[in-house]
Amino acid sequence: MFKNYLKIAFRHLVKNKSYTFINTLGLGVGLAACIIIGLWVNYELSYDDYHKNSEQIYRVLNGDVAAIPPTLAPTFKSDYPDLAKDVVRFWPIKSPSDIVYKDKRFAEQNITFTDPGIFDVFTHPMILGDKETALSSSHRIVISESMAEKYFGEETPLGKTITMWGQNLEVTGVFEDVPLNSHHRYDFLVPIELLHTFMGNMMENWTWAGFYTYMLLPENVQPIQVETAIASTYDKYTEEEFPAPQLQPLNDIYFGSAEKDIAITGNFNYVFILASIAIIVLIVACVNFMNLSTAYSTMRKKEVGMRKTLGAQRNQLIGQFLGEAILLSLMGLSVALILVEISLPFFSNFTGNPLAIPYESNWGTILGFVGLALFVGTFSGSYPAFFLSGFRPIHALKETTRTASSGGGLRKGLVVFQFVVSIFLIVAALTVYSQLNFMQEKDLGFSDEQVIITGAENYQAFKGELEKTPGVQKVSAAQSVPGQRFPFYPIRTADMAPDSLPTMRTLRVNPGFIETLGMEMTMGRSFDEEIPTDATQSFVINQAAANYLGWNDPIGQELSWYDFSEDGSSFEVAKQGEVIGVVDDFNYASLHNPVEPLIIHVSQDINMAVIKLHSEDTGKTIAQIKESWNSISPGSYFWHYFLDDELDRQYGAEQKLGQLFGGLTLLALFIACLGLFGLTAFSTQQRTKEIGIRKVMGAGVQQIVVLLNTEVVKMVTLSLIIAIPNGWQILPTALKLASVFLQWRA
Amino acid sequence: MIQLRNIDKYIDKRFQRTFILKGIDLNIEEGEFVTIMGPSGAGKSTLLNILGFLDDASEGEYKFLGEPVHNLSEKKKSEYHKSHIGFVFQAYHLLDELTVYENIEMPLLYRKVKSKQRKAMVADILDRFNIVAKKDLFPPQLSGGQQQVVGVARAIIGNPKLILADEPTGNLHSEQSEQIMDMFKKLNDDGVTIIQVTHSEKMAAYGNRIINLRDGALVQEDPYEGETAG
Repeated sequence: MFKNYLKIAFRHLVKNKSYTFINTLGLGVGLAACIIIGLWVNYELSYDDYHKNSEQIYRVLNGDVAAIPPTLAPTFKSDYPDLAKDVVRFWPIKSPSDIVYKDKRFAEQNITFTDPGIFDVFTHPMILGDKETALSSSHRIVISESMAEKYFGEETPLGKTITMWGQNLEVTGVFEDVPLNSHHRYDFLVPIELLHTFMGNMMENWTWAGFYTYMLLPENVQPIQVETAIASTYDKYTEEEFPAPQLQPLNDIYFGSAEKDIAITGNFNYVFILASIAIIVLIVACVNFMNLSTAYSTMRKKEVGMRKTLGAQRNQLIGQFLGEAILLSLMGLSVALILVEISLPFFSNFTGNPLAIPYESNWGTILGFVGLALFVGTFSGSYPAFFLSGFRPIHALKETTRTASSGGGLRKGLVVFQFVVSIFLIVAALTVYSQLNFMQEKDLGFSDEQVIITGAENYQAFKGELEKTPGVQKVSAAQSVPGQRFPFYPIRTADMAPDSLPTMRTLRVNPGFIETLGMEMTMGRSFDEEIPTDATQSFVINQAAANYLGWNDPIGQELSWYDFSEDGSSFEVAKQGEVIGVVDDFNYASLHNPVEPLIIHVSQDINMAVIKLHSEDTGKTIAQIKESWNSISPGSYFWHYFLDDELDRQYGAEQKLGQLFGGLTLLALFIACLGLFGLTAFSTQQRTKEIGIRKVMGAGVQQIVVLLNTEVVKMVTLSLIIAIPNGWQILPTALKLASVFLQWRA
Repeated sequence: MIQLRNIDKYIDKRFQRTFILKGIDLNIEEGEFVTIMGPSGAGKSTLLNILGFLDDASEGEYKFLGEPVHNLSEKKKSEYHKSHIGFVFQAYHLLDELTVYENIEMPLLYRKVKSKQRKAMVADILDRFNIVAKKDLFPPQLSGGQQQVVGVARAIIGNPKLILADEPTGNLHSEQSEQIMDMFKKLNDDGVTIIQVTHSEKMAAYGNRIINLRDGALVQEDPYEGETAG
């Protein structure tokens, strides 16, 4: 019996080649989109899952700030040994540092100071060395596999000495590279003990919030117990007021980034939106299938009638037609897998996630795919199956072929549905694009073109050389530049209550910074090198700060700015002076957020040089700059980047989302058109006789074309009328849904 | 075998009721070879469809083997289709996607006959109807007469007690028609009840009883007329 079904299904498919082709292609494209997006979603959701204890690992947050004092971990460990198996601190360095081995010297970004317990909490298999002792004394360093390759090649890294920050460190271990689906990035692990050498008393400071602290909880301990214990630790050891501590599960970190977060964070909205679109594309493909199979069902009427008169029961027929649908969807699946194989490398490259179909690792994947095909087949085949098997034999066998009209209303409805969905997607994609454009074209409040950022070693000498270089327009320096996070420091004004100490983002610069980046002053003046008091007792604030402080006329207002005391144990007034100017708000963080209040003052505590170039022949100018650098700071690594490139990169994720969105939308539209094409071809075929008669009566080609296309035009117009007025609300609704999902997931 | 009492079949359209059959009373015993005749639109095919459970009567009582048909479930009806009734159509209604062999085999599949036995039965029929050479051809590759032979073969492979034939020779020329009717005659001699619809007096003569329908009603029922004509 089954063989008979299979035979008739195959012969039917071979006979109606265009039907088979359209259905297989549509389903194949839909499934391929679903599989690729599914792999991507799975990858995004897999962040930090690879740690053996990932369920038991938590990160400590103060309120919603991820960076907390270095003192908490050791204190908590000794006070509450039962509540945490281990507590590990991370202190990733902020700007590149040189790592030197013999003649090899590279500026490395991924250097993290940490506690020896890191290997007990996180799963980082060691290739060489003993994880118990690898970080157990200060002058040691553990490196990743790829760094071992980079610095040591064929040599054994163990026992070799490399130099960082002028310290000689012994390589005591090599660990497997951190997987890309980790929110951590480190290639070099250095004991926090070494940090004591540099930071001294700061390490006992309860106000220095710069460390990321992770805990491995025993199975029977609830996070709430630990949170309470942390709160009482704060109460016991420090006067400082902290927001309520929270434990954030490791697996939530990637999507639930905190204030001052460590590094890589994802966006659950993107995951949700793309997953929804992929499913929509698949549904559109399924609808195609339903439509075409019901249309073509008129061809199977006779078969249904005959089988029924021969004694077939309805459920047998349903089984037969469902089976055919599943057969088609399995064919679609194989097309999909081929498409996925072809396009996955491009997609991986595009998203930066190493995606692959895990064929070899588990049967579950293959079963999952077959399951997906079965589901799609059943879902899209159920309606045609019931429709077909419901024919009464007497009608089915009658010679009068009631052609495509039966079930035509529903079919038209489904076509309209497809187009409405596709147009919705187009409108939503346009919304994403226009938002992106808005962000990219919005005035930043400063000029980021032709500006390069370099290191600031021996800055004064370097600056002298730069000013002599013909291609350089202006030079200045700063501790950080737009696109980076500016740190918070306490400030006080005369009108404030004595015990209040609000913090404000602070930018430390050299004179000329404001001019170099072409910012506008709304009031007063900017820093001047010729006026000595500008370096010691002057501040420039931005407009947001003036508003925040409630000053209508900020010029001349008194202000105190606080920094750590010498021993690092508390804050003390570091600079006192008056406001000399107000700079117009410029976007130094993200365009997603409003500009925050900012205080700018002159300092020699600088990290990078900001160089504005003339537009012609920048390559040559940069080569000259590098030459100057090498002659002034020989042996130090010259790094540089263009500020506009870096800022554009911030919106890279959105850009990619927009492109993916657009791509999937086009796929949906393509599939819908494919279906409409199939239906039109079918109905034209059915109307051959009508067309013949009309032609004999004198109808021209044009009239025939109009006749055949009126239906299509009607359906597409109706879709437009439904979709366009409502389309604008889709994206906000989707985002709302996404946030609901995220909460539900957490 | 078949008892019809006051069977009506009508279509309601708005305020008008159109009768296709009206007040049909009919008894058919096992082993009869009945011919239903009448002009176009007289309701011959409708009557045949009702007899074969392909259509339901609007009013009246129909007993098949003593069992009231209007009480039969769909399942029971398809049971009867499988085991008691074979159909032959004017348009053959062979499935174009299946070969001759597979078309004949299909009823056996629904009857869940074992593969080996199925092969034997189909081979037997092919042999009996002399179409062994055609078994791997598809219906469109056959002439009308050959297709109808296959249709008859399919109808009788399950050893039905009743064969319903709706103008079985309507599309055939006389030589082919005679071949088909000879087959019916032989089957009837073996005890199979046959009810056929036809326009042709000649074909009607093969049966032993003629029922005349006119405007949905029985005109004449003379059990002996067929005999004298044959």
